[in-house]
Amino acid sequence: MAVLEGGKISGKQFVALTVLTRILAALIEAPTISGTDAGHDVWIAVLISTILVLPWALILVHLAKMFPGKTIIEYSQDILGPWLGRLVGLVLIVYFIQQSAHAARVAADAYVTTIMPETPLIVFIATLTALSANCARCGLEVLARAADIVFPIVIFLLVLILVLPFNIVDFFNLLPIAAYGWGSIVEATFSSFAIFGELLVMTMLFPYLDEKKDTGRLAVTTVLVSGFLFTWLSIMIALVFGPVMESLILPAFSLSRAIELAFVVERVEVIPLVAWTLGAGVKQTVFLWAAMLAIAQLFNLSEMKSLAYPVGALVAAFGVWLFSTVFDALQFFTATKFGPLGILVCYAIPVVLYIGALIRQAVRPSRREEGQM
Amino acid sequence: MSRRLRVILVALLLVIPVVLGGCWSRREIERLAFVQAVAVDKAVEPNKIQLTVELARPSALAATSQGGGSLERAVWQVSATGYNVFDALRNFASQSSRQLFWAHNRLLVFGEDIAREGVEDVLDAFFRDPEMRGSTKVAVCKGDTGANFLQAEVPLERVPSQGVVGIVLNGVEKLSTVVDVDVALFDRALAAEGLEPIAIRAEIIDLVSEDESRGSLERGTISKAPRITGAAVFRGTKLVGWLNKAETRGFNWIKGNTQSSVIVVEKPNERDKFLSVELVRANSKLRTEVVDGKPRVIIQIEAMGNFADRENIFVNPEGIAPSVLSIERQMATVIKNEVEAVIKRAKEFGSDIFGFGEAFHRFHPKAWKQFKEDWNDKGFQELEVKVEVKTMLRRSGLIELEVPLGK
Repeated sequence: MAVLEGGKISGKQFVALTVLTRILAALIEAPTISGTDAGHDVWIAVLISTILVLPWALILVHLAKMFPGKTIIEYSQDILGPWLGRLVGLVLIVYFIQQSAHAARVAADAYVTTIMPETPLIVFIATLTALSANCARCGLEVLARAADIVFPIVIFLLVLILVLPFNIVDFFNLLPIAAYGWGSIVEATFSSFAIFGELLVMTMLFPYLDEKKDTGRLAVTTVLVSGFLFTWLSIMIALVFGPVMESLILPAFSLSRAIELAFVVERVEVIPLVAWTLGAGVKQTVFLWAAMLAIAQLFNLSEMKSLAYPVGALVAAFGVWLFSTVFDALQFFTATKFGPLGILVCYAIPVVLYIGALIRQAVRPSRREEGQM
Repeated sequence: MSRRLRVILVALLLVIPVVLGGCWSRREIERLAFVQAVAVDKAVEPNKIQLTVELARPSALAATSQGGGSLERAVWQVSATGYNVFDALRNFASQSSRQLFWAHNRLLVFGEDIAREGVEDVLDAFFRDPEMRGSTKVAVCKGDTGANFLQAEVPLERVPSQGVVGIVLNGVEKLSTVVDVDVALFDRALAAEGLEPIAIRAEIIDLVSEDESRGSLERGTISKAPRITGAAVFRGTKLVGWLNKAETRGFNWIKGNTQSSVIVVEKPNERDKFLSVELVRANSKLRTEVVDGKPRVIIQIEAMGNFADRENIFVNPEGIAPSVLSIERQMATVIKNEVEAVIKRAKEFGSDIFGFGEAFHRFHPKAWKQFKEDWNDKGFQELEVKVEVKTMLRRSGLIELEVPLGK
């Protein structure tokens, strides 16, 4: 079979790609995205979900080690058999396309809400998708190098937003803990957990790491770094806005608007705008690339480059169609909307695969043969 | 078509849309009118509100920068009405040749009438629109409409709202009898449990009309000037009353907002003669307790001051120490009286502007659940407040006690 993706990425690039993928949500809608009324306690939910995600990330790593050089699309067929495995692959393709579209959509929504209210949504989505499709067409190495450049910029900008409002924080805003009851924190944890599922895209990236032995360390780094940044952001927004934070639609943007230092550093809301663009670009491209690779592998195509524009078009259409109002977007990951489905796709599938793989290993120790079927 | 040309064309096609995105929402600076201040009042028609904006006139402002004071007014005031803020805002389009641009708005003034009826709908608009900023100051004009207040000018400034904001900042820094409240803070107070908002109290004072002596300061005649002192007390979104100077300073003592101020005390050795102490630093600590199911707060205030007036302490045969002590005690009494006065007044209004309730919410969340329901009417009224004041007199400027007057 032809090599679909010949690229190799370094560990640093892997972390850049995955953390950027995670961070888009932080830049735009977290922690409001949890869509719950946990208020200033959201940071607890974020922290709990970060810890809950760790074992799952290790399962993904272990799966990658059991099937070296294979993506989740390939080994799901090895484990569950060709038919059930292909079904799983199909579900994942839809998920990747949906995530890619989601990235473009939230960024586009944010532009329209904040600076360009008259510009049609499709303009932003189409522009972002055109860029992403071209980048994804060039393959993983180009994407990884782009992430390499973008990563320090986005992190710098995010940290700037997180540090500059230091003069208006009120630490007592975090009290009392669990002001709205633990029920709301559990709900918020659920949403945060569902959003964390984005890291499933790691299973598509693992085979292309140049240093395979670092896989576990890198996955844990990604989870911890992104969890840390999310927690920090949630705390900072609570410290600055207190009881107002529940009503904010774009908390990081509002946070940047609140920055006012000595009449010099103020009106810096362009910072999140730059970060959104860069973050959304990377996230959308990662998932677009993952969708392309998954389609090519599932249908045994000989190359994946030509998929870039068709899948891109699908992503753009999906992006426009995804939400009808901003409230849909905010509630997207709650228990009554996409949340359970997201958890099913991102968490249940890998766990079932892992159990299946363990059973296969136990029943038939000559797993290698099976893998090369 | 060569391959290179094709690549360039495709690249152009990809780049152009990026730039085009801006065309829909472009705004040329020549088409913008910069809002400096906005007043919100009840309109003459029922159920309508009236907005009055103060727009900067670039042509008049530009004249000054090239030397030679312009005789034109630097601002233009214009009103529009509507059923809600957004409606009224858009109605400006029928009077203004330029789009209103809000990002530089510094002042939001409510007329007393509308403030008493409630300002929730108005504030929402000022928080929702991304062009509006949370740093806009919120004031209520006592006994008059906001529109009239915008007419009041400080002769020092060309833009009236700049004068008003200047007075607020000056008052906070030098007198502490003024509160500095912006939209973000007001909104936060509304959102919080057990905390009611306050706003800047604005008044219009008449300037004595002396047309002849006005000399070269033309610009029409300035007949009204703004005065900022005290505070406007809200309960929820409704104005319920006013704090005077002393009460407002009491409020600032409690919140630890006092920066600098003047405390006038009686001279230790002479009856009915007063000396000023310049306050240089003050801070406060709030402790909350629940004793037998009853809320109690302890406010500890620490203030440090300097001599600011002549004082012949040597008259006192016992030396300096007792006199200093006497002044310090008097300072403490002044502070304590002001604090107690403002708490009494706030209880009369039934509005916990200090955030005592919020403190209970934070530090005694269980007990708060019982107080929460009717905090302003019951818990806050029964609240026992203990005030502990510690004052220190430190320096005396460049002169020890007084300039020798000769004997």
